[in-house]
Amino acid sequence: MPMNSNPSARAPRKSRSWGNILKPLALLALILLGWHFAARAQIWSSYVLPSPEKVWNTLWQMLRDGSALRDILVSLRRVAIGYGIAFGLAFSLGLGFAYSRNLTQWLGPFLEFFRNVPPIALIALLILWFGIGEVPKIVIIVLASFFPMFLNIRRGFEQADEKLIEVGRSLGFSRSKLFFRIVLPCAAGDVLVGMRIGLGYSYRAIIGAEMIAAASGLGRMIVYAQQMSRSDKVIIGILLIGLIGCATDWLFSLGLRWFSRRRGETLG
Amino acid sequence: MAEIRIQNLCRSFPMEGRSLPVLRELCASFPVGEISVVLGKSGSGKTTLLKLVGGLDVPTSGTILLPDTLKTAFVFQEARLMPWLTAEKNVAFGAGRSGLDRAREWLARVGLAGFERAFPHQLSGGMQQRVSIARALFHQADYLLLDEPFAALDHFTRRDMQLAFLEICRNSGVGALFVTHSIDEALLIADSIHILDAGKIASSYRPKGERDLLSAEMVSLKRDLLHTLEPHQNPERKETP
Repeated sequence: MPMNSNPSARAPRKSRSWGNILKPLALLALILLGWHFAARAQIWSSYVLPSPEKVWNTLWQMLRDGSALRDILVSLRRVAIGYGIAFGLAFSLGLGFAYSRNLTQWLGPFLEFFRNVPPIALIALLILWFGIGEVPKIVIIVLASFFPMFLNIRRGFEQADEKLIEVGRSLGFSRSKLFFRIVLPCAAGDVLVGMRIGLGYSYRAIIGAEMIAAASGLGRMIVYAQQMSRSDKVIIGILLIGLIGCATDWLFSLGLRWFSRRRGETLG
Repeated sequence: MAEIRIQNLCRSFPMEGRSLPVLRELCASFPVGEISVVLGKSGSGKTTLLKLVGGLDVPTSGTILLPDTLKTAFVFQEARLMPWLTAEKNVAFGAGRSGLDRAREWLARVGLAGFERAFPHQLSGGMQQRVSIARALFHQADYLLLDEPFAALDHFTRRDMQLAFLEICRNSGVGALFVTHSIDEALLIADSIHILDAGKIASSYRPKGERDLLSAEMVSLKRDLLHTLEPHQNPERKETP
């Protein structure tokens, strides 16, 4: 009789999903314990490694006085504006590049050039031109999130199934009906993947931009805390950035799952 | 009877700087109330002819005259269903929610009652092709253009689909231009068979009587068709001692 040499491979789905939650939690507990004992043993000074208790107390205080929430909202607002502009540009140019050879010939080399320039490299020039107001930060977000969205959206439209489009033509669809009923749904998967990647890029870009030139936001909070020798606040800033990034990506993945279920697709 | 009339139809495709003619001065007429089968080898221009009749391609020269009120619909070799839509929404594709009731009726007529909410990937090849036929009929076409629609199906499913297709055409009063490379399929479903060879209709046949493919009449006709398609091959099988 054949024996199952790896029982875990046949473990029920439910226990696998519990493992997905419990294993990282166990590792987190181990890290916190190690951090606690290292801080208590005073191997490093409390400036270099503040205790987890101190970090927690500072976070609690920042949540109570609203300063943490203020910085979070400022950063998120910038991301929302920059990301929205980048999506609008990426969608229209992606569509244009997919269907207009002229546009590709005119703009292609310029976009390729800017794709290879890291947005942070432009910040000095942006401050010179626009000051340290909101504009340079928004521009940085647009530049950072535009390209992953643009490339995916363009590919989505270019790879819209010609045979399905022919079905629409055989049914006498107008050009706009062909676009909204066939081309757009065909491209939707790539558009959403591009949007998800673009969101991650824009979030990382804003933290970088705020660390260089800003009076508020999570990036600014970290730099200010470093200048004030408040490593507990630096750690809080890092934790908040990671947690918000994970939360937004998780929300987006929920949206993607919902979208895929509606289309009868299964996510791999 | 109203008919589709084709006169001196030419279609060439550019290839490596040259013009490759696929259809050459093709003339034919297909009565719209019957099933006309165009039979030919691969690459003989069957699909090109069908696309030209359906308005999906433009002829290099020549004319195609369709009756004024004729509404055509395509059934392609692959089912070409929208993967993001359920079977009923695929049938009512482009008609919106108001067409869903009628779409369910058509699904039932092609034998797919109970599969209304299934997505294409949940259906077999034969079932997908039935949805595709239901979609063509849903749009109130009175003439179907079918491009080897059962070519990818196994023998048994193919036979079932051929019979189902005949029944649907008879019950709905729908005519069809049916392209295939299968002689047996042509003999089974055709009111008239047109052999397409070297870009022209080489000859036309009108099978009569019951479609028993093993009857002497059908075997004789099959031999004639084979001879027209492959004049240099001897269709008689040599008996080995």
